[in-house]
Amino acid sequence: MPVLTNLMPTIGQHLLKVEKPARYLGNEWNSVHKDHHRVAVTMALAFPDVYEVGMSHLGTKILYHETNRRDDAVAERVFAPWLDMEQLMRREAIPLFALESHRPLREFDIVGFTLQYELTYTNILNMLDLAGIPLHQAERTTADPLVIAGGPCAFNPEPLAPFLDLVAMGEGEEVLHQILDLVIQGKREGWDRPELLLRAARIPGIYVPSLYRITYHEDGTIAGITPTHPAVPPRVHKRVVEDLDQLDYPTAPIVSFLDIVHDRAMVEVFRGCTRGCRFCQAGTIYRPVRERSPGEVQRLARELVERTGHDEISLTSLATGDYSAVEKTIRQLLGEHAGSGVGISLPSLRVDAFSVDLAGLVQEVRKTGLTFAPEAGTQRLRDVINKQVTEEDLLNAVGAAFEKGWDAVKLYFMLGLPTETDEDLRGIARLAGQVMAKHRAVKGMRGRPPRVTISVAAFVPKAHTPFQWFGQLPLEELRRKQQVLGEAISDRRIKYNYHDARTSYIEAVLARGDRRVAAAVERAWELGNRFDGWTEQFRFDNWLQAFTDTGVDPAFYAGRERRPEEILPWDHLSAGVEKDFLWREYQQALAGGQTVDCRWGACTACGVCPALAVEVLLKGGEKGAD
Amino acid sequence: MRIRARLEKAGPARYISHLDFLRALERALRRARLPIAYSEGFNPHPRLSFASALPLGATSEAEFIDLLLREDLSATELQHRLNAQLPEGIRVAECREVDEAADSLAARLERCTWEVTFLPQVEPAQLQLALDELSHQRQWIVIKETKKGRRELDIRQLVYGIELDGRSGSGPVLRLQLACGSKDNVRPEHFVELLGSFGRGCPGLAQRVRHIHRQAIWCRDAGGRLTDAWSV
Repeated sequence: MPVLTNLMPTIGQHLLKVEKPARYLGNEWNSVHKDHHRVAVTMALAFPDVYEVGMSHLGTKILYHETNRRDDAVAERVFAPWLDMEQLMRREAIPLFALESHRPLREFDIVGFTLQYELTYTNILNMLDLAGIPLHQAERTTADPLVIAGGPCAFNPEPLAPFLDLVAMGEGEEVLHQILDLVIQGKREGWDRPELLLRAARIPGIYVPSLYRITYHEDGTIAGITPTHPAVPPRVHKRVVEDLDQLDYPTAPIVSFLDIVHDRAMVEVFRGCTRGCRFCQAGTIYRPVRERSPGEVQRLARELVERTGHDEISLTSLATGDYSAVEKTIRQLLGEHAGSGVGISLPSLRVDAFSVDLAGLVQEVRKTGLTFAPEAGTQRLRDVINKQVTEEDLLNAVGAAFEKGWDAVKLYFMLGLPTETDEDLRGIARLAGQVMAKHRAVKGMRGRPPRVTISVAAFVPKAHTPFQWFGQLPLEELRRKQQVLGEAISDRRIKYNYHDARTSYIEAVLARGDRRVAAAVERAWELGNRFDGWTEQFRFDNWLQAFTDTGVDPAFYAGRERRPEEILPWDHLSAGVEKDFLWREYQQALAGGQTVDCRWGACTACGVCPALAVEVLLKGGEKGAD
Repeated sequence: MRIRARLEKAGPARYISHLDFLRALERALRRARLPIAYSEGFNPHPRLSFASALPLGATSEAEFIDLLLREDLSATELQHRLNAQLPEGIRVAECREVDEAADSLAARLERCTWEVTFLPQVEPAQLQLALDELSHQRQWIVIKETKKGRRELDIRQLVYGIELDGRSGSGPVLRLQLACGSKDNVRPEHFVELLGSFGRGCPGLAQRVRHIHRQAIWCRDAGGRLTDAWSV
């Protein structure tokens, strides 16, 4: 039997030198510790951001549970060590380790990264490097872990293509077991890496980047994406779970010692969203809508509270107000748990009075304020993005909020959307002004003054959305727009926040990049970039340097309007939604036409249900609002 | 009903900060389904109070907490049920019912006994020399970092006992009895730093501490007598 390395004695000598040593302990309540000698396959679930962010991620909890409920497999966690820890590890030559066993990552069979956000890509390279695993897939052998990835950014993983052995598209509960089985078989039968990858490519939902050849036209656009082997599918479709009630949900997730970002018991009430907002990638890649039944939600919530000791249950989904049994479920949960000091929270609110009623029901008064996302400042532009929210909806929602005693309202908008004019930006300021006026109308001069914050993000066009062809506006133009909006806000009590547009620019390059962009990601990492998603760590000049050094033109990826016939770098990767549908939606957008939600209106023929042989599944037994 | 518990914090739990320790305890109480009383308000919290926060990195066999229960429960059962739900390194060692009307431990706390273990390279003789020199000083000035900035403090009157054990195999141990509580508070690190600044033999002493352990706490009872945590 090989000797297992446990780095804890070494790490322990240094833990008091770093901030929040509990990030690196791995012995939290409900953490799973297995003898690696007694399992057939070992997997490290790698989240390329700091502990507190990664521990809030439901997907990781699900995969941890799915793997560890097998007797023949173990999953452990690893997060990006914070900068102080990285420095220490490099100085003391401590390789990156998994938290539970403190075993070096390079001794694992599989290292699986979740791709939640483009600006974590440099962290992935940094973690591989800290682990002593060759960055490039082509340089790895059976002696190295199989490096795999999944998550939303897996729908265009091309900027990471040279670094990944395989990518799992879509929901992981089922395909995970096929990957584990394959790796076990490969170890037993002594397959080399190419053989393993070729077999993996035959599993539905598995994309093996190295088995596709990409050719280019002279103008840099893609000429063709072709499998290099006859057994490899020309197009990979994502995986979906048919019925969430059939899944084994993680009701005993790890309870952190540290105060993590989402420190509560999470019950996922449904997957998918078909509201059809045209900027939204989640609205495409998680289709169709499949609800968990209210009885199951209640059972899971009860078990979670019993097994974690959390004092808050969060009903999660892309838009929980749309859950067809939302009100009934909240009332049931309140009835069952309010007496034992357990509260309920709703992560996202729809812009209408019904949602404010729900928030009132769960008494989120203890929270700082309510957040709504009208996304655009005029009805015309909201029609373009298919955000089916009217000014009246918003004013009704904030009116209801003020009446219920909230004084703080936060409004989210985007800037740089297709067809946007300065008039639309002034519309944001106007809307905020109306919210102030609404407060006066409801409250008069009594009580505290309202606190209205508008938070504006620069729009980043994403793959698999109707705006995937749209050229992001140049940096200078985004900055000018930020200024136009700032000047249009005359009421000084309105707080105006906006993000650094340079971040959105890099995000845009990576979100629609092809595999030639990988060289720039690697170079940016070499130049020292990590934690790019953290404002104070983001080094824009290094990115520009990286583009120059590698001959990558960022404007080609971020700012170029694509032609309809162009082969996009992710055209061989399918979320089930047809490219034709997305193009129709883009044209509809430019014409200001709206598309209804198929949960309440006619089928929009997006293609997902026939392509994946699934269907919309509503389990409320009561009509959702609308 | 009020129950006082003595907890131990050992092994990896020493890397858990006081606030995180508190939260872990609250969650364990909930998992154990103990009839804890909750505070009123929008954000109800279990009614538990600590004698004194332990510095990050230290272990302890004297973490005292008081729990207010809404139903009667034997101290033994509480100990048993809570221990089944506590994370690695945290353990209830002892549990007793106390007078519900008694003052809080934090208000009664006077002193702590600490054990500071040094790395084996530290010579007991060097430590003894430094201690001798220290005893000839009229003032023992340490620098305390507070929210308001750095402040000098003479701790000579706040150190109640110093004992050197040079025979321990794992390195010399200094047993200190120091003022502890809201009025006067001396952390063992302060004393070690002070000691390191005396005596030619002990430069960088603070960097050669292997381990800090809280061994006991001492309280002042209503009659003004110094006593253990159970008798107040």
